[in-house]
Amino acid sequence: MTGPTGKDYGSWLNAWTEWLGPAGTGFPGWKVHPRGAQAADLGDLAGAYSAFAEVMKHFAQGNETGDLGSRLAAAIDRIKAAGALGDGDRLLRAFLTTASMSPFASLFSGAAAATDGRFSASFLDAQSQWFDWPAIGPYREWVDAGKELQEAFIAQRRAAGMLSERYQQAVEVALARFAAFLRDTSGEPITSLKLLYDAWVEIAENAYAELVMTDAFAADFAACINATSAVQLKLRGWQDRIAGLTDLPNRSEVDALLERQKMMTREIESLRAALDDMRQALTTSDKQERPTSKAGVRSKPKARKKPPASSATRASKPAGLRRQVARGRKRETKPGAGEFDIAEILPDRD
Amino acid sequence: MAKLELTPASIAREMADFHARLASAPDTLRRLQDVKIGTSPRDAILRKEGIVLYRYRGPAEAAHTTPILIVYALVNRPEVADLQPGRSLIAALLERGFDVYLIDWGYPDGSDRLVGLDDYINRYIDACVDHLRRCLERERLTLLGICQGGTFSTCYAALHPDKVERLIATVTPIDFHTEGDMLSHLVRHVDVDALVESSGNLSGDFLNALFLSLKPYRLTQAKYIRFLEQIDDVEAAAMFLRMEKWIFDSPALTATAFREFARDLYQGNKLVKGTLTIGGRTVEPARITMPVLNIFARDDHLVPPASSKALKGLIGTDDYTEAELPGGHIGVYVSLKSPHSVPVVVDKWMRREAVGHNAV
Repeated sequence: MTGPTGKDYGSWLNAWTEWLGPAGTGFPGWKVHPRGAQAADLGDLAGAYSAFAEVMKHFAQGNETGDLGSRLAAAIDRIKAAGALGDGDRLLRAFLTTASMSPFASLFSGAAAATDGRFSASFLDAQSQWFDWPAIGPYREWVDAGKELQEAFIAQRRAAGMLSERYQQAVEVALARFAAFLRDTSGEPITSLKLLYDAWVEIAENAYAELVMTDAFAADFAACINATSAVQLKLRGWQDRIAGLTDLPNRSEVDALLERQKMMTREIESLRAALDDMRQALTTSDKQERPTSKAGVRSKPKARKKPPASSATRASKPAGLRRQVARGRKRETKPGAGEFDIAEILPDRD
Repeated sequence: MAKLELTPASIAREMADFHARLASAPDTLRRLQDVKIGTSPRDAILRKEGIVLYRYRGPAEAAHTTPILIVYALVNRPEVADLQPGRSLIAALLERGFDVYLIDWGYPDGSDRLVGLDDYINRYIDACVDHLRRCLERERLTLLGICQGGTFSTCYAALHPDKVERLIATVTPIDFHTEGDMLSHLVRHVDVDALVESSGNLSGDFLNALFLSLKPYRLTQAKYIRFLEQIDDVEAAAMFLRMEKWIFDSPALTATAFREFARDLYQGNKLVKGTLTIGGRTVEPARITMPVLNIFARDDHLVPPASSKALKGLIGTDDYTEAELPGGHIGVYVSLKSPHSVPVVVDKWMRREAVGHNAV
């Protein structure tokens, strides 16, 4: 593996970005990246279904003994046993585990990478030794931050590996059940490729759902998400350091501003509500003093409790609010820009 | 008898047919171009911090006298309630004479990361309700909540019972710890605080991945094979594209709202326990004393019926009606030709008739 070395922090950063995935989601159950977004591409679709058809054709015209169902079931057993595989076995395994559009293709390719050494346990152990001693020198803070990030990343890879094993278990269970289904001659025979495909999907989905609903899976799933969060937080710390060098605000500073803005918005809303109440009280008082005055009189619902004046539409219009206050209690509230007076579009309800 | 009655020749024929459909797909897709959803005419009547309250224009001859405010979920967009003519819950309600309003939560961005349940329920829904109460000169309104919007509506009705005339909850999660709730099971041990701290708003891609992972074989493979099987049916293909457009048009969930919803509801199940607080106030479902209609889907893989049905045991009214409809979480909003569809049930219930189908 070519990887980051020495004090080349840029290469470390590039490596983290690559490992985290282009979208940076780090979602363990599904690799979200631009290539994943092409999952619905018709070529991929055709590839997946064609792979299934090729497998079925291979076994349908095979020279082995027994009916097609038995031959398929035997191939599945050979794949599960991980023994010597024939061409048909390899075709079937490719479809079941790594075919384009397989939900778990990327996971299995990840598992294969682990086996091949890229993220194997021995590789991760060796990487762990890198941060086994304290950093010294004027850049020790940077070095320590880099080590923490790498430590978190290694923990994430281990957690992802555990989850990947769970997914493999689901596929293995699905394979065993599919084999049993194919051997079982009771029930309606499968008369088309599509029906066979549907049967596989049904069996695989059920096996997967059962696995997901176990406590062990939930624990490993959470461990992987949590480890990914830890990596991203460390990555954030690294980015914050760089932001500080270039006088850019970091996350916590932006959050503090948002928090202040939120509090101010709440305060303004509260003050506006209080003003509305005061205006309402003044209007009531005014009417009691001048019951015959026609100015400002408008129709109101009969014997109904009046809903409070909304401050929502005026939340961003302090100038309008000031005008209303200045005009006192004679004016109705008017909708602001981008708003519509509902009375203009509603039919007469009476 | 052999389980498989397939031969190389029969498989080859099927594949030839499949490839013929595949070859015709580009023509069909080119003809359809980009499909449109959410086409019912409407007017924005209130805007607040990215939230828009819409009023839908109904047929001129309809007697629009009863307003219904639809509260949609933060996940995905409300266009599923207005997918296309003939498959529009909103249009169906308008045709039945209701005056339909909808809160559009918009597309939250980074500046909305602190927007939480208190904002959504006590500020945004409340602002819309107050605006309509004032404009329509009504003391109370009927709320129709969809999925998470049903949970919001339930909380709102509990916190502001004096403003809600009737509550209609549809495919609404109430008890988040029922058996078979895969989503709840998956997030049970996740460190939500760390996830939110590290990710900020939960992206639409993340949410899509999570939902796809609940049924990966069906949702990422089988449905597209089925789509190709129907490729010669232009209308079916158009419908498929509309659903695709809707389902992957996924706004982000604000960091704070996700944190609160996941931690307090999915993990803590606080609504059922009576310990949920929003804006410093405890949400007491027993304060829901208005009539309640609870609609859920029999084959819902996201919100198990048992989760929705928990509402009955929490509220403070006997005027409670349940309707279990055939179909899945989304299907109940787009399969409207059934005599037991959502708008039919809502209409009957609003007119205080027996809803008929599996009513309790």
